[in-house]
Amino acid sequence: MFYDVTMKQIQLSDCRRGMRARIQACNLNEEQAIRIGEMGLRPGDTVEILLSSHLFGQVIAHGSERLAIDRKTARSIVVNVLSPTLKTL
Amino acid sequence: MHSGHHHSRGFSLLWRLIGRDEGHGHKPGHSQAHAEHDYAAEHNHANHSQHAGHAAGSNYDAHNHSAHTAEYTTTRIPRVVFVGNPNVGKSTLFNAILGADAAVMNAPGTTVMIESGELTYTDPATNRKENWELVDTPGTASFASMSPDEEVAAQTALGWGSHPDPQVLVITIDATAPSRGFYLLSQAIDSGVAPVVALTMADLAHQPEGIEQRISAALENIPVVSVDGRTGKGVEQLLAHIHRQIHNPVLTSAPAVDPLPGEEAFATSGWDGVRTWLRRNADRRFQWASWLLTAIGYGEAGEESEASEGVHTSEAAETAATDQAINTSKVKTASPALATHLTLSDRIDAVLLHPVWGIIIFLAVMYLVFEATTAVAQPIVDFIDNQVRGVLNSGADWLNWQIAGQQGLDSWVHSLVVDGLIDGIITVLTYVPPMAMVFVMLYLLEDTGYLSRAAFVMNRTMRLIGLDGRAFLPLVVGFGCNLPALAATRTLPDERQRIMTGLLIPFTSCSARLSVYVVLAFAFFRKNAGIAIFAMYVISLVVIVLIGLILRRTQFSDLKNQPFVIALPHYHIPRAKLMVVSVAKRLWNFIRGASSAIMSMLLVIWLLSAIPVSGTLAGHSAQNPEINTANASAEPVQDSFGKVSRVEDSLYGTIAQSVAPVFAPAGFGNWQATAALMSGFVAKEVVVGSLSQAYHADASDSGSRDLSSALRESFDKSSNGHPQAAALAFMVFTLAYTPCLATVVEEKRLFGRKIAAETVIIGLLVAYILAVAIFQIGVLL
Repeated sequence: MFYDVTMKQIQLSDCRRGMRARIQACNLNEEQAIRIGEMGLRPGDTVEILLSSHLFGQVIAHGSERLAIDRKTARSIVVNVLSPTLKTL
Repeated sequence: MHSGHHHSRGFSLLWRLIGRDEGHGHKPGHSQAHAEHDYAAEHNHANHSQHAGHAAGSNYDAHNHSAHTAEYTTTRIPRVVFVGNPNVGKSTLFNAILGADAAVMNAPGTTVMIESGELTYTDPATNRKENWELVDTPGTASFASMSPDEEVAAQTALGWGSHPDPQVLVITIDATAPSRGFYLLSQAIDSGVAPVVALTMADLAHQPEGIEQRISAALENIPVVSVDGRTGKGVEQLLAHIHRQIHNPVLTSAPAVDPLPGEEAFATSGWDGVRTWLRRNADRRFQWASWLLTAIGYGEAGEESEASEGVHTSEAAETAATDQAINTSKVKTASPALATHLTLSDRIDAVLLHPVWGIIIFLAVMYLVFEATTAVAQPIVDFIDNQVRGVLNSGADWLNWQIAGQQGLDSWVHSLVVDGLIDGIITVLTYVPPMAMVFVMLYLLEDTGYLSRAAFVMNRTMRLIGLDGRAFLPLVVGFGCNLPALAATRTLPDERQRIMTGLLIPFTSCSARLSVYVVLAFAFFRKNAGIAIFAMYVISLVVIVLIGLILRRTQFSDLKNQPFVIALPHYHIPRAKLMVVSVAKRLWNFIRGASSAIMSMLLVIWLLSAIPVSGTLAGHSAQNPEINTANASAEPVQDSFGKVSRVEDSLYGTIAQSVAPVFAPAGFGNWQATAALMSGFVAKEVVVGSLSQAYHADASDSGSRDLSSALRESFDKSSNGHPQAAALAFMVFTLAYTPCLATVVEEKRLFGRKIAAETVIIGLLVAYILAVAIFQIGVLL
């Protein structure tokens, strides 16, 4: 499987399986952004994408916890990609 | 650092100041004598010496709060409130303590269900017994509620408004997701109520050893205990901690973030003010949760614990130091191996959440649920309807014979008993099998952990009409039977979503309606009968979507589409004993809540059918002159109360005749169809039988006057030569109009009188508009 990564900061919805990323920000209104944080996804937290689907959304590993996020919500979360290493073929 | 330094803050202080609370558990050195006085039994309650799941000699007994637990009552015994995030095992733990003795009730002023029960605890040191009120609340991520359910949870925990002041808060935290739980814990600490932390799922968490001690030490010895609601492990220690917190509360010397002001501070802003206040401190609470995670050795969001497990690392992770220097040109690289250690649940999710297999498996599961509530339950329903009814009827016959001989059997009393009371009892009992099956399936879906996955799979589809993915399940069940479908709405986390789904369920074409479709489709459409029946299901789906969109833009315009983030619990093997207790409890609640209303309505209908219209002779009918001719040689027998031979000769028939003209624009303005629809309000299954009775025809087509012929003749007359359009209109009316009586009663029980009335009105309106439109268009075509 192959994927493209062109930016250091991308939306969570653009992350693919196996990517590790650090949450930077949440582009939602204050109430909804706080709710995302209350669900456990806070700026600075590291997550890993376990499943990524255009149809459903994503399943991410947050420590030993598993969270399912729909695509619309994932689009509002900005992350810094930590890995994998990108090697030019 | 112990109870002598407790902070008087929060709502508990306010309550004490205005004398609303005796202050159990917040005054250091609370005397035992005072405790005895306060714990005097002021309530009527059934004493159960033992409850399932606990060994003899345990220190506590659970018993039902009272015989009238349906009513919410204030209490002076210590109140222990259980709070926690959704899916952390809080309710499993609660039920492990109270078992079948927990009663389900509406939170005051809402239709949100909470569970409550009374526990008798025996102090092992003194052998003194004391009663506690235990209350379970809906799962909530935060006291800054974003739904009616969360609001009930938060207000119950904080003793807001009419909610009594709790003495102890049991904060249930999932040990595999402590970060979320610690956020709520910070709010609980700042409320000033004595806390006890119950850690669940400890066996599944890769946690540092002695996690309970670490948390407790970090929080100045607040009691923390690992519990397993499934096995009962840790429950005794939990209760001992609760006991200590009631009598000698241990509180932190300083708030976690900010102590919650008293209720008076929110006198003008109300509950919204509380939410705003809590959100204002959200960032600091996040920091507090992170601090606590670090303090107990979890590091950053659990990474440290993963590292200690020796997780598999990918080649990419090993070179993570160079990851920051990412060039901006497009590059392609192979997808790396995951750094996270995959659990069995992860591997199962790879299949169940696959874009293709996930949908297929989801549909298969939905089909299983559907079959369980229909095909599996049906033989039991048939047994009840035939065998049990037969036994009861025979018993009634025998009793009447013993009391009054043949006269007894001919009396209206006998008719009342057989056609009224026994019919009512059997009707209620016939709903038990499908309800039991749906409760079993719901329990299995929830307890295994699959329901959260199902919500994720269907979320995108259901969001089109503003509903959670979990709303798909009740709608699927509704195509089997509307009644258990309403029960399935409890899986939705939001009260408003439950109500909206509850309003849509009656438009699912249940299997009872199918019998009506079949009779009319074959009578009027012959070779195209299958297409006509299929069209009903298509119309059902279209109506659901349309009504859903309308509701979303009108009555439920306040329903905000919240960000969809759902925790996926680990998969579990359900425990049979817990399932049986849970299902039995819910079934009993249904029977208790629905039986009286259903039986009352059936008795009303019996009464209407039992009152003869004066001057009518049995065997003679003004509506059907051919009957008079056929019966000309028979000796006429006067109808009497309880002995009306023909529907049209009763008050029920008279009412049908007066209502019939309303349906003229829909093409079926005859009293027979109207009477059938009226009886269909009780149960859709009786519509066909009612048509047969009204037309004096044999539905099996073997009689001298078969039902199909009678229907064609009658509809041709009432529609002025457009019988097919009229038949289609009748079928659509049957599809959309008021659901059966049991469904309306359940709507009232779950959502209140107003929603039940709205269900009836919307159903009638939509059905009438559709039926008239279809007939009028059919006439034009």
